[in-house]
Amino acid sequence: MTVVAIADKLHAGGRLTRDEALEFYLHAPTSLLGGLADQARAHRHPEGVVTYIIDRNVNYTNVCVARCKFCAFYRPVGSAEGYTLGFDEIFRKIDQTIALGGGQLLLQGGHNPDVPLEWYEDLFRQVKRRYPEFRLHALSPPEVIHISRLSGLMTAQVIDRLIAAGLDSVPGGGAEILVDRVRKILNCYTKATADEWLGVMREAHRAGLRTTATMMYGTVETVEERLEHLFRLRDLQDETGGFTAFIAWSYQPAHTELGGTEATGIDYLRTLALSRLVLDNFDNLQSSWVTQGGKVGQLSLAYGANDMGSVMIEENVVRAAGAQYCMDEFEVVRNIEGAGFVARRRNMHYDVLGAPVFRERDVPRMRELAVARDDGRAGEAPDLRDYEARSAAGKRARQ
Amino acid sequence: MLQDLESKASSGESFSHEEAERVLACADLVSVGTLGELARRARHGDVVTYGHVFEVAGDAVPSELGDAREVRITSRPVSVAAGCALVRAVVAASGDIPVTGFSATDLLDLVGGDHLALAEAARELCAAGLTGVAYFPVDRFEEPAELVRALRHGGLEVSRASVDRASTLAARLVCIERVAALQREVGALLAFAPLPRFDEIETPSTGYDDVRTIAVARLVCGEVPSLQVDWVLYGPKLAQVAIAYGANDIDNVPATDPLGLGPRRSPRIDIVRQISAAFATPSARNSRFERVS
Repeated sequence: MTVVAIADKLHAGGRLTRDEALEFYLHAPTSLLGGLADQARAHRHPEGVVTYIIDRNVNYTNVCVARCKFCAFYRPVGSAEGYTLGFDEIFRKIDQTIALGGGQLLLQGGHNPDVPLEWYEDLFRQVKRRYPEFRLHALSPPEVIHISRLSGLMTAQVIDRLIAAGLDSVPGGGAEILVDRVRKILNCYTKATADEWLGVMREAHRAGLRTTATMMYGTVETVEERLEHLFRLRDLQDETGGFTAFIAWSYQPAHTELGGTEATGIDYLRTLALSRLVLDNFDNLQSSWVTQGGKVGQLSLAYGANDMGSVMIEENVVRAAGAQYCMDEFEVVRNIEGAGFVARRRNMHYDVLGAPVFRERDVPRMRELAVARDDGRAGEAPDLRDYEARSAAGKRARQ
Repeated sequence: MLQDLESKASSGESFSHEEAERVLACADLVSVGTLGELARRARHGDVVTYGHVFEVAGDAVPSELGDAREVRITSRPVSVAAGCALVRAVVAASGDIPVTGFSATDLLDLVGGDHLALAEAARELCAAGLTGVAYFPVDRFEEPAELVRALRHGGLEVSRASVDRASTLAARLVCIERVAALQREVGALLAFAPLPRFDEIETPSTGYDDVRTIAVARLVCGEVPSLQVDWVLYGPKLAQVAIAYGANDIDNVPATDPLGLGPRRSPRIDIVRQISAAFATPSARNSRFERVS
């Protein structure tokens, strides 16, 4: 099928097949891809609103046994640079988040063998006790699998226990590219195969949780594999309808074992646009300004995105790989409005919460994103001593 | 929404003020880009050029010029004599690579705003080895033609127009139209860099405004051959995306790979990958915009 015929099919409301999506990605002009994606965005969101969320990315530990080649954030077990936050540190972050108008933590971390399921349960319960309205968007599928392996429970049981403790939703991290050939090369196959990642999401949806989906592209995958990722997500969304949003970002190569170069800005906009066209059953596509910068992040709104993602407040993972962009709520809203849209705050479920907070009360400007610990201190918090360590290094540290 | 303007863009004919305002106001950004890209292709086909520049920011004479096709002095001289001394030192270190330098604004300030004195200063700098001014910020001059004449009278090339500050789209359109008028009046401009060199800290320019500026500059300044984006100032991502909105030249690509640019700056050879990934054919050029191998 020609590019023109595929465009006609999309205009008529048709659904892209894998072959058509490949043809379109390879041969459609960027303006055609962007134009069709923008139309699809406008069709789904005719009110002209672009949303964003105020939350905080908290990475509770950087200790990880997965050793993904694309990651610059992790430290191996026993590393002098490893850290695990304590409950009080996390509570302080929540207090700061609430002060900035936020209502949620995006809580993700390394696969630390010395942080058992009970730690997460205790943390979630205490958060809910102290901050009843606060949301926990926490633990991506590979983390759930890791906890399942540590605890000896099925992943569905882990999810149930975490929900009982206070888990509200699951972030779509760790998807990378949902093709096992790619995952083996990136050394992320053992943390979760493509089927396992999708399986945890299926279980989370069945348990009543909403989740997001992500794609980290630009490593070793082929275009066909990038598309396979999108179609696997579309298939699961057809089945469960549990994804609230899709977020694509480009691999950030600095300081990683894999190295290499970053995908270009035009590649990002084309990938985003094609994602909007393939993922016709996803309501929301986020801009990844944290990896693309504010300018290309804003341009995303013309190529299919309807959401500026998170104000974020704190970020540790892509920063470690070289991306150090910052946008506070003022800047996010200025970019949304500068693109001709109405800016509205939302929660993880994409319920509109209201107008920008800084228009309702004074909020301090944020010049750079916070980090896990302001003083850069390593080590695990003392309250971890109450939990059983699995690694030899962890056991020694807690003696 | 702008389809009726596509044939005009394809013909390379310059847009009127009313048409430019219509393009700037268009909410459909992709349509804006379509016009810019049509006009670029009409003029340059698939080729996008890039220039490796070695910037001399202080008074340190370069020792390693890498792939430089131009050595550009970006500092402000304290006097014409000091400027000449720096030029002589840089020229001596640069071999046969052309040396440009300074902003026309700074040179005019040095001579108290006197055009005759400016021509004399230009003559002295030219005699020291300077080939042309590095920046000619049109936002700083309401009557730029006389300045160009004075600088050229002294022997300096003014081949590139630039913008220092223009935070609104209206201010940017004024600059764009000033460059179009300047080219009609004095000619010989080879390039225009329409994105401001200096930005507001509190409210930096946005991606939408930048690519709109590129597109409208391309459409209005049909008689200026090259439309540039500065690689270092605007970064690889925006510089590349600007190609899809009408830019045909990436300027100030680092001639060496200084660590100070940070890990997110691509190495100097990455410019070829970036242009190719924008579906264009990369071609290196010198400071006269002649293609080089």
